[in-house]
Amino acid sequence: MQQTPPLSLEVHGLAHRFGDGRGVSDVSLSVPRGSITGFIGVNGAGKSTTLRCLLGLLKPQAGEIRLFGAPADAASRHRVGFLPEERGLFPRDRARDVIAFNARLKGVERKAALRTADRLLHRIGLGGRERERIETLSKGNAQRVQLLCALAHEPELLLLDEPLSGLDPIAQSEILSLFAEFRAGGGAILFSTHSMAAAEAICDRVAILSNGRTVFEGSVSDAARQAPHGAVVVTDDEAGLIASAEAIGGRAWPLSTVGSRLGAATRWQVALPREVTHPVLMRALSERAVPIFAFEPIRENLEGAFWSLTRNAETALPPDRQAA
Amino acid sequence: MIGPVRLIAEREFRTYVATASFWIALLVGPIIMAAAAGALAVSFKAPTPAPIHVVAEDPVLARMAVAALEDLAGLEGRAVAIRVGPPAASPETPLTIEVRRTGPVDVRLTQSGAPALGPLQWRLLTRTLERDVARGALATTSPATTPPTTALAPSRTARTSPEATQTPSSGAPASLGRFALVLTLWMTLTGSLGMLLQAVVRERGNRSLESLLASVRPVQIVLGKVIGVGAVSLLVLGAWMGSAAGLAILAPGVRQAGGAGLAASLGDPASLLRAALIYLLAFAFYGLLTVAVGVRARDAAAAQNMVRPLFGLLLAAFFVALVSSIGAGQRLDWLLWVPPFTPFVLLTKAPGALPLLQEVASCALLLLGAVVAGRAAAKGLSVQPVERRKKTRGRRADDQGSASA
Repeated sequence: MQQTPPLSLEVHGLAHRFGDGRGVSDVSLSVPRGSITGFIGVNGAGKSTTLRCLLGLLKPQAGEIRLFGAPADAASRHRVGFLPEERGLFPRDRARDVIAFNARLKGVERKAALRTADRLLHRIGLGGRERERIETLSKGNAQRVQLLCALAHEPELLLLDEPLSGLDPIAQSEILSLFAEFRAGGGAILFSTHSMAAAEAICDRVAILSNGRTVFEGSVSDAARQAPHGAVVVTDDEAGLIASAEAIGGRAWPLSTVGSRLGAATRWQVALPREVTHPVLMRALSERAVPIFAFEPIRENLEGAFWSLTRNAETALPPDRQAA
Repeated sequence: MIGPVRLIAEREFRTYVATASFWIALLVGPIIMAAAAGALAVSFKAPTPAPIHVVAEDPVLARMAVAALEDLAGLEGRAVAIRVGPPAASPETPLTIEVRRTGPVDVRLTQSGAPALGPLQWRLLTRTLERDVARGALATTSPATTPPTTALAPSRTARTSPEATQTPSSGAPASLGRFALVLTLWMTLTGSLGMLLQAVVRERGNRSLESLLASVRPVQIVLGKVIGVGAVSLLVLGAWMGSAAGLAILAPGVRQAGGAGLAASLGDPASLLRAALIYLLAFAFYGLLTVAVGVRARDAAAAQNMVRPLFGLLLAAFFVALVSSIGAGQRLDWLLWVPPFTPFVLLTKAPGALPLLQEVASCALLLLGAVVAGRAAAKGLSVQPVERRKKTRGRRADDQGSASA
């Protein structure tokens, strides 16, 4: 029998609403020790608000946050490393000094902090550039230095808000390998991202957020299975599309209107039974001479699941809360 | 608590001090002072005391004449060398004042030699001497006889205020010295508050505030910044005050131009401690107030606009101090109880001029103001501008909703 690893982070029913009604209303997730959890949601879904609540930067209005098996407090938050969405360093600070400074703020002794800074810089390929000022580093390198600031006090849990944004593919790959190394050392990571590919590549688990609520939490493979089988079709023949879909046991519903030179076309989602393949749908559409401006199979992956889950969650909302 | 505050303070200090421009700017003050002192020293020529001989039959009368002549010279700011007895025979006869008693309370004065006293000086000398002779005569006939030495200059023992312990000619430098302290405080505050504002806005500007807030408490950030910038100001203040005091002691021109009062103020440990305490409280109050205002700004431009009233207040406090320093500010003494004015009013008063209880109570009020400002600063720092904007938007939406309802 496989033993469940202890949880580094548990969140139950977290809520924090701002004056305009935005924020989070019901977020629940867990991050086991030695794992990476992707925190996925569209802009404004509440990812940053959740992370700031976890760190105590915002006071939750409801819900429970447990860190390392106990209610979160200042001492347990000292064991957490954080990379905020809004990133910035003092341009005149030297790379090793800024990393050591962040470590010392968390109570690490000066010499140990400097040693750690040197080691981490060497690890990401900036060995020999310890004394360079941040203003002389490239944007990608500066961002990597900022990530090292979160790692400098050797935390047990990393909370990272969009750590991959603004990085080129090579830098992203390096950062992901750093995450993997951290996980191998028993650390836990919760990172918010828009990159489904990155989440699919490295995450053990995902938590999908929509309109301030957790709509899915579980393993990446379980998430992928949430993706519907079907396709997205852009056409202006509504009746033909619906008849074609029903003829092969599926159903269709509009996603959005697409204004184009070809006329008022509509983007439709067509759900199909698992045994019906995409070519069957194509054939059914061509038999009825339905004009097809675009045809995009919905993949059974995280991205497909994400769109489906967030769409379902949005349609469940009252009309005034639905995204435009 | 202390560790993060010290680290943040150290970083703030290093941010300013680790630049060549800071040291250049720091040296500019003493260099300008030294140049000014040099110019004063060159232009200042110690006047040769004009010899005056007093001839009188009665030694008491001679002493009275000497005292009257000294008072006259003091009023005019002239240096004189007064001798009792006739001058030695020489081609150029110095000014000789001959005093003769013509009655119990009447004296007659004659002058010979050069440079002769003008009509106004002569009249003043005669009247002073007549008054002192009359007082001396009254004192010797009174049952409660006062010693002749005090009878010589009774008007000098009548003053009881702290100012009166100094000679008339040293009152002005003392007042100037205190005003120099006020001016230095004002300059220190205006300079360092600007730095402090930059330090607060910089965190938001380079978007490093959130990561800092994730590690330390807002109050630690506020204190670290105020202490760090305060240390920079202290360094600047020390360099400037040290240079000024050194020049006041060493350069005769500066000493004459009011530096003596400053040197006296700095030379007295009790006065120095009092001034240091007032400086500390003033910096804490104004510094924390600046942070409290600055943290509510989204960027440097907004921060500059928001602190403008604070600098206006500082300017008003300076003018209050200026008015108090020239002795016309008695009616403004109540401002001692208004924290933004407290340090300036206190500095214009000589140590001991106010009752101790009053000084301590006003300082306590200033400290209370600093604590309130500090709490407001910490609270403002922990609320992100984005969050504040959302709250405002929400309130507006609520208002519109209720209005439409």
